[in-house]
Amino acid sequence: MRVLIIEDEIKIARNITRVLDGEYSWAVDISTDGEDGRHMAMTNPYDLIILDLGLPKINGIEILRDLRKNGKTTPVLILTARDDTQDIVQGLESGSDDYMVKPFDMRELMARCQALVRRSYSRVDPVIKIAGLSINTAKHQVIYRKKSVRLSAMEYRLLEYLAMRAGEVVSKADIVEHLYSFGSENFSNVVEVYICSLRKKLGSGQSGEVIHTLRNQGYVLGELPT
Amino acid sequence: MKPLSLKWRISLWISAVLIAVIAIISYAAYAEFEESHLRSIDLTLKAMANGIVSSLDTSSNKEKWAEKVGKITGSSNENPSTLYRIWLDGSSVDMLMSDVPNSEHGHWLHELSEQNKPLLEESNFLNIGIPHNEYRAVWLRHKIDEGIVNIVVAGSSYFTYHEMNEFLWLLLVLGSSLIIGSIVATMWIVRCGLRPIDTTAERLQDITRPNIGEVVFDYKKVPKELRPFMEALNDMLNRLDRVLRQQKQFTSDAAHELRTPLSLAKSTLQAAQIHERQPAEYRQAIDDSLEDIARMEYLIEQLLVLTRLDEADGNTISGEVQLDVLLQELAETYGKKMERSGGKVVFEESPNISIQGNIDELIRLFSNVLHNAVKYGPPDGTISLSLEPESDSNVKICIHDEGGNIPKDTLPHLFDRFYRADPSRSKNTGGAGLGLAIAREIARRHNGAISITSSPDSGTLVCIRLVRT
Repeated sequence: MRVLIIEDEIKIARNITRVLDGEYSWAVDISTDGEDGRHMAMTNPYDLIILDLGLPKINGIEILRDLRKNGKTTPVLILTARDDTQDIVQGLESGSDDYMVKPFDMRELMARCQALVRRSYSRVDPVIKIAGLSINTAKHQVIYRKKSVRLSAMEYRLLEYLAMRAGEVVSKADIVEHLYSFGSENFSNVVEVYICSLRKKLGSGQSGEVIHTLRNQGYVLGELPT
Repeated sequence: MKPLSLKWRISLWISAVLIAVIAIISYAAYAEFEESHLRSIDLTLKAMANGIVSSLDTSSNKEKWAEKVGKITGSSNENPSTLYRIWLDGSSVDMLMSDVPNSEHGHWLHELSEQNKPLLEESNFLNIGIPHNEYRAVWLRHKIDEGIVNIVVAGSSYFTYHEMNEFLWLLLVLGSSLIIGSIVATMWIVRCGLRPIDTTAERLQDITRPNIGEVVFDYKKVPKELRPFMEALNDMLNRLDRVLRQQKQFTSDAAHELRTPLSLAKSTLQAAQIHERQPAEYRQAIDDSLEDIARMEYLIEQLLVLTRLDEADGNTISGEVQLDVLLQELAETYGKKMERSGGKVVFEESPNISIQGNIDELIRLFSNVLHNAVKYGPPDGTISLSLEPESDSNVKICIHDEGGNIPKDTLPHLFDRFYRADPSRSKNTGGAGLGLAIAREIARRHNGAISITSSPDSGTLVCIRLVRT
């Protein structure tokens, strides 16, 4: 999952990043001003945007309205010090999916972020079960055929994304865009490396591969689309 | 006793004035009416008396004379409306009389008061009779050969008085209906006139804090006398609304400013807490949090200063402040800070000037401005302070730094609370946008003013004008 934090208080953005990246293996981009933030939000396929309202250059509400006007459906969570009911209502009515007031609880923020991402992929249950695989997105536990599997951060990141889109063909470009933040050096062949190691850890069962490769199209977790 | 309501008071006053006016007019009309009536009776009586006198002079035959007198007075036994009696002075027997002496009328003619007796060849008018049977009479004395003859001719004035009474009643009825009518009209007018006050009072009851700005009293329909009141009311509501709005804005800004460092510290500590970390990471988290707490402390102190300044009454003067000494000390303190980065603070030589003021507040005022000069000016630049008398009553203190990158359109807002020229909350400089607001508040409390000009060429200049005494 890839998240954009638009927040002018750089220390808050870094603290959130530390938790999202360290605990949840999500890729995080940070923008500290409205103009830059809007550009990033418009040009990248984020799974979630955490948006502050009082921003330099362009305020948060304006960014939000622009995003929605341009048909961007990315879930947006407003994180701001403004606690007026009027502000909350305006935020939600402008197209935000959730609203949190600073000072916030880090765990609550994380839980809300996960819920928003889950919902955007139409997943109601935090535990995704597919092809003998059970992925608890809240606890980051992966069980395959009743056996717990230990995955590296990047492996988990890849598996979670594929699980969210289980049954669909996911292109390599999609994976790169959703798993890597701006700063990281991403090469598309790195994706192949992680797919390989995932397959190894999950092992090939009698019923064939859990992750299917479709040449020149991408990968599918679970059953192949007919 | 409960004071009378306005409509009753006005009505009472109007009726009192009306009663007096109607009484005076009635009395005058009554007197005039009476006089003109009596005058016309008197003229007739006098003419009759004169006729009798001339008949006395010309008639020789007594019977013919009596007949003549009867004709002149037009009186007969059947119609005794005109009475007469003619007799000689000293004689107890009448020469002629309209009625039998024993009758009531004859009685009156015989009992004339000596007081009313006219001089010879002159006449007097008198009233005789009893109420409802009044008579007006003329008494004339004339000298003839036999002696002095007295002639009294009397005519009934009963109808005159009857008419006069009717007239009086008419006046009374007219007068009282006028008074009642005017009281009713007055009360109605007063009630209509005061109705806007009632409706206003009702609407004032409905005013609560959120809708105070929406209430506007339409004063075009109210009586002219009440307009200043309604205008003042609208004004007051506007001012209240503005103050409440400012208060709300201030509270919300303050909350926002306090929440930012608080959420910083909280998120730092929670991020560190989520799992076991290296001691160095913990130390970093603690240092970061302490920094944020220091920021909160500074902010809270500023807020308290501002609140105290707002709450304190106008009396701020607590003693004499030696301005040149104070500025010299401040220049040294801030000079040491600037030296570290290669800059300096210069205080230009000035005459001894002292003003009446609160020394703590004045130190805060100059410190806040100097603080900004250090913060926003070039680190190796020169900050210069000057103090000079502007007039007999004013002194001007100027603080100049070599920075000057304050955008022109932000200059007017620099003294607003929580305003910062750089909208992305200047984390490195750590202010909350209260320093200059506090400075302006203190200058105001000393009956002074503060102004700022800035340009990249000439730097930033803050001037403070204070009253000397």
